[in-house]
Amino acid sequence: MQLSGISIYIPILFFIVFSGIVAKLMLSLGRIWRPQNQYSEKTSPYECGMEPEGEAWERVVPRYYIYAMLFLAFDVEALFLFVWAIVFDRIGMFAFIEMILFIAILLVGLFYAWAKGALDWRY
Amino acid sequence: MNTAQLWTDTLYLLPEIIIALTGLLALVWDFISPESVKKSRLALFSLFGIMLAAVFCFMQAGLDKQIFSNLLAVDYFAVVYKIILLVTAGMVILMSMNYLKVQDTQRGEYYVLILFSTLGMMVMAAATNFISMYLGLELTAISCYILCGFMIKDKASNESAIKYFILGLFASAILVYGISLIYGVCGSLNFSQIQQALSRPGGNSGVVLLTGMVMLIVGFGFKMAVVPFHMWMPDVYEGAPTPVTAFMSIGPKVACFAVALRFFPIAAYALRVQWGFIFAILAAITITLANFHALRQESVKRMLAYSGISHVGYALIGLVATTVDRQIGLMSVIVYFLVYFTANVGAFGVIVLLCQKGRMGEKFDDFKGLGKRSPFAAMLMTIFMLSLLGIPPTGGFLAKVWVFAAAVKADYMWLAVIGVINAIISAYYYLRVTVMMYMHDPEEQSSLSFTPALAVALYIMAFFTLYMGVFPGSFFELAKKSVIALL
Repeated sequence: MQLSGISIYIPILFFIVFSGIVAKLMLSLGRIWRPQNQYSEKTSPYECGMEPEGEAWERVVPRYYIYAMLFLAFDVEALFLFVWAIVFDRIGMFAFIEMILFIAILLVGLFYAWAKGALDWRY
Repeated sequence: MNTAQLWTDTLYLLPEIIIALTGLLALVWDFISPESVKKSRLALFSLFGIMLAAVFCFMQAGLDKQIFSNLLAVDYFAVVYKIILLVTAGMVILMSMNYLKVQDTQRGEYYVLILFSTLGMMVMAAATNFISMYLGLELTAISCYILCGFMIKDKASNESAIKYFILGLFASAILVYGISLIYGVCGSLNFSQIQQALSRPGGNSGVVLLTGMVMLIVGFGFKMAVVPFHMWMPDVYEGAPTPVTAFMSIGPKVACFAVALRFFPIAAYALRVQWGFIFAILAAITITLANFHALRQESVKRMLAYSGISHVGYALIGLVATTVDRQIGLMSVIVYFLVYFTANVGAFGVIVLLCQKGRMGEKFDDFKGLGKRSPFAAMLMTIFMLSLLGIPPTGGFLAKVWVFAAAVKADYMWLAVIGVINAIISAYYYLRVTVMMYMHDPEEQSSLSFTPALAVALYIMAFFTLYMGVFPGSFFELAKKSVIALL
């Protein structure tokens, strides 16, 4: 059968539905047949080791987040630089100045992060 | 494309470049200057940049060019919208100077974010391509997310920022998906090429195209806070600092409407039956529901948020009217926003005036006896309320008349009737403010934070609200010229 347009996705739809049915079937069969003996140790998060203490909803220090954001900015910069470098011999002076401006603007951002103390890791 | 063309195109971008440079310089200035330097200087510097950009914008009036291979347009329409946005930004900065001092959140980033957000909106107003439009939209939105949460220690402000952030991202995702579907069908992101693709025989039908169009409307609906997608807005507006609320109640909406006016009546004119129908339904429920919610509010800020939703509904009536007569419909929307922005910025300005340390001054009770405490402020607030309501000496009357006339002319009589009925209903909550001001005694004799900057902003807005009502000719001329540039 020849499929065209949006209907080429029909096999994928079948796949999604079928895999859902198979997963549900396997889990329900397991639930029916497996031996059932629950006791308190078995339901604890870590079966061997420490007893968990306190709440799971704790404050987490998001210090790493700032680094990840800075990394992302410069990662994207590298991405643009790569594309620019490939066609550099054809696009000339205008693109060169554009790229310098782009990097300068990013540098302002870096200096801002630096001045605001985002770069020193305090415990 | 040759390089000389790029250099000249850059010159047409001068207003945007000035705003971007002002923002960057303000950012650098903020972190190299010691703490003792007054932040109000930063505000004045930003104002200077905005004025300079506005001057260059005025100089662009009369041009009609497409720059950067049809990414942006420099035409009368863009100029009018950019002026609205720049004036809004300027007024908001004037309003913020004292507000930030009173709320004790004076940081330079505030002005920088306002400037970057304005830059994004200016790009949107000029965009004739979905890529540049989306670039502007995200720059606007990301700056606004941060501005909402600017009062770091205030829980409501944080809630507002998180809500706006998550729902805004969601809306952006839907919008981009819609754009990608339209790109898939039309083969271009450029508005004029989409127009060509749609006007080909058989080009304006198909499930994928319509899905894309609906998603686009949903995305825009989120950003403009049209009713089924408006849930985020009252909470966000209430929590955000009042000047930021004033900014958000104008800027993103006006910019989104600029894009919608470039896209729907022009590029997607071949699909006018479909989007006309959707927008007509949306307009009707937007106005009605927003009005009924506004009736029940105890906070003036929240009431103004709902009233803002209903005003977007009125403007949508004008957009619906473009399905039949494009010129009248487009003109009515432009005039409507010219009027709405002056009155709305002014009304938020009066709330800023009432705010004191530890007391936001945004409840109806806070307006009690304002007529005795400060007759002038009460008079200004009355002018703004009458304009939002649409009473003759103010601009609001003409704006509403035009929108309804456009609807009647386009054979959407039922829409005009719904609009008029709702305009009458809205009298209750607008006049309630006036009643509080003049017919109640003041609860306490506390001073108002009337600073020169705020006073200037309020006077200018009140002046234009009245001027547009009494001498509307020049503003209609403005709207007409910008529509001719568009068609």
